[in-house]
Amino acid sequence: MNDSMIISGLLSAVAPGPILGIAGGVIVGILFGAIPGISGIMGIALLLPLTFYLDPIIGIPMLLGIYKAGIFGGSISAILLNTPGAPPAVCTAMEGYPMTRHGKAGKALHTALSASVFGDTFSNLLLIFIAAPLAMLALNIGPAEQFCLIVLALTVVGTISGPSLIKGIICAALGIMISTIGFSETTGAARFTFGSEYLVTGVSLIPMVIGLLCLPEVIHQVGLGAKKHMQYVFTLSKNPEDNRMTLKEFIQCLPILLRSSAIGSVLGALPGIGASPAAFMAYSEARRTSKMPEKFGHGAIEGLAAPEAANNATTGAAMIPMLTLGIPGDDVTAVLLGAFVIQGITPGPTIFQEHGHMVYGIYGGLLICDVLLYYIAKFGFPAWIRLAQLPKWMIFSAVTVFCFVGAYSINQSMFDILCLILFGVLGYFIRKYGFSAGAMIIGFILGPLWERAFDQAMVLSDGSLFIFIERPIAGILLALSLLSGIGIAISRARLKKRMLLSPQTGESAS
Amino acid sequence: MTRKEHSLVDMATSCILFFGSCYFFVKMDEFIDQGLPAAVDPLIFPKFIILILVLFSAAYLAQTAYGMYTMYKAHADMNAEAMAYTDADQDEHEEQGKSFYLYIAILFIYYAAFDTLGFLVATPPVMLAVAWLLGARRITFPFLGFAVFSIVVEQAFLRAMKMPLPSGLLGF
Repeated sequence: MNDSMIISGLLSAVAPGPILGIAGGVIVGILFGAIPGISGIMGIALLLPLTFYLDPIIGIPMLLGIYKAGIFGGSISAILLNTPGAPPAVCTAMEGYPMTRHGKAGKALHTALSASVFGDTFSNLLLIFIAAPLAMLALNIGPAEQFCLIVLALTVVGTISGPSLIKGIICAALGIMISTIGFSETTGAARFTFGSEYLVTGVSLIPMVIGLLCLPEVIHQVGLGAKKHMQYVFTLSKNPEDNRMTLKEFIQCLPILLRSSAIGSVLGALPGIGASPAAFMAYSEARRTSKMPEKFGHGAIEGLAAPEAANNATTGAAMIPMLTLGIPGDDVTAVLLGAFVIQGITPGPTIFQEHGHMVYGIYGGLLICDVLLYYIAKFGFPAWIRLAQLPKWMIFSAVTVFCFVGAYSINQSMFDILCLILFGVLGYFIRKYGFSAGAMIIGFILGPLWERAFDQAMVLSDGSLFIFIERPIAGILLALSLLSGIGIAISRARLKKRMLLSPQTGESAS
Repeated sequence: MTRKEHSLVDMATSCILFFGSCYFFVKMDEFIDQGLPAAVDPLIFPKFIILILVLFSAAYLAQTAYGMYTMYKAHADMNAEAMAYTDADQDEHEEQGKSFYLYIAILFIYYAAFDTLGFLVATPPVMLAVAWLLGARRITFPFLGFAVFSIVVEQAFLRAMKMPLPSGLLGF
């Protein structure tokens, strides 16, 4: 791609459609992140059907807006209610909530926002400058290498499996099996339809994703009933100094922001690591290098900025393996990968050749997203504070309706709604008994890509499985997968041992 | 849920997964309508995945069986009271189970009403039922709110996505 095409791609995002889409995504993301009990990924799942009707240049940045804003939104409930909506916001709550108790909720929110936008922008720039050269390097890979690359991608299941690795692998295998229902892409054979005409075209992604991610949360909340109502009332301080991060404070935090963003970007780009370790590592690094470590835990501004910059920096970086190699780093990027597939775009090394203009448009959208996140979040603080305290009967009755409408909207099929309910019940039991819905979704999304690569490799090698070992890059990728698998197993075993030795700290360790 | 109950659920799940996947592996040929002759067998990939499922289900079964064995061995010396529910736990467990079944029933009723009564008619009562399960006890104001919400969603889908939601047999 030449420079003029890159610039025209970037500028294609500067239009009313993409800007409105991103703004909508940012608002939904903050909303879903801020309300305890629901998360950004639920927002992505619910709005995924909408992207089917939108141009990719609007739909994909809109989902990315939810992703990024959802992470920041999680810090709102962490700071105001001491309720981290997701594990990465634990450190935010540790520093942000004491600031709220000292009447500095506005300062805490502003610091978290500034750090989040800083981390986001840092990782977006990294994505823009690294992804294309990496894709060029990966361009020469064939079906055997693609197959091995997906094996490597599937090792991510090890990190999102929850307490049992075996259960995670079983869920991923079940997800892949569900993806094989319907017509085989290579042979045209109808598989596992059991005589149902509805299954001939396979199981739709959207009812599955919404069913596994959203309905179980509603069922869980219904199970809790009216018992866990939180009645907090907050008002922002009238002293302007308590409601903003001053320039002096920002400059003081700059080295920490840079270091934390780098930590978040590196960890985010590695499949399977995710935002939580990035936030914890950045927090501990900030504490280690701080001149006043005793302030940590009592509302230290650096302690708040570090994890926020790091966990948001993982979002842009996680797009690097997803866009260039087709490897989703976690369940959110797996759903985003699904959004690309819905649009007829398969992320991977050829994406810059086949859809270069659109990819640069998405990059432009990411940069706009940072600007919009900052201003929408900043001017909406009073509204987010109120929304974080909405009664849950209002939220979850609406979520139930959105689940149905979302599942129905793709094919206008009642069968999809039936699938939604069945996956919702399955998702509830998956959650209740320690299985992993994320692993199942990753299996379902990667399954068809894996099968296609497998079939093509088999045709090329006349059915010999040695093709996966004989080709050097494929062999290296398989070896890396093996090493990654062993590494994950060892780290899980260590964690388990640590938790057994100190059961009272087990929760925090996990 | 007690550890014992959790183990029993694990044992039942692992048995279903293991024997189910073994059965599926053996009978897989019967669940396919062959397409055109192709260079690749359409069952080779699913067989590979089912094999993984069989292996890991077996590992899960073995792990659960070992866990149950060690649990019973350890609990042989323990006070039975330590393993039992308190009355409060039991009540909470039953309450959660009841809410779960009620919510699932609401979902199936909504599924049936969505197409037959239409989105606009079916949605407000369903939202009200979910809200009631979640602790809302005042009905009039939420019902009006839910009716307005349904109209807004219906119109948004119709105008923005050019997609009409089901109007039902009554044509609403």
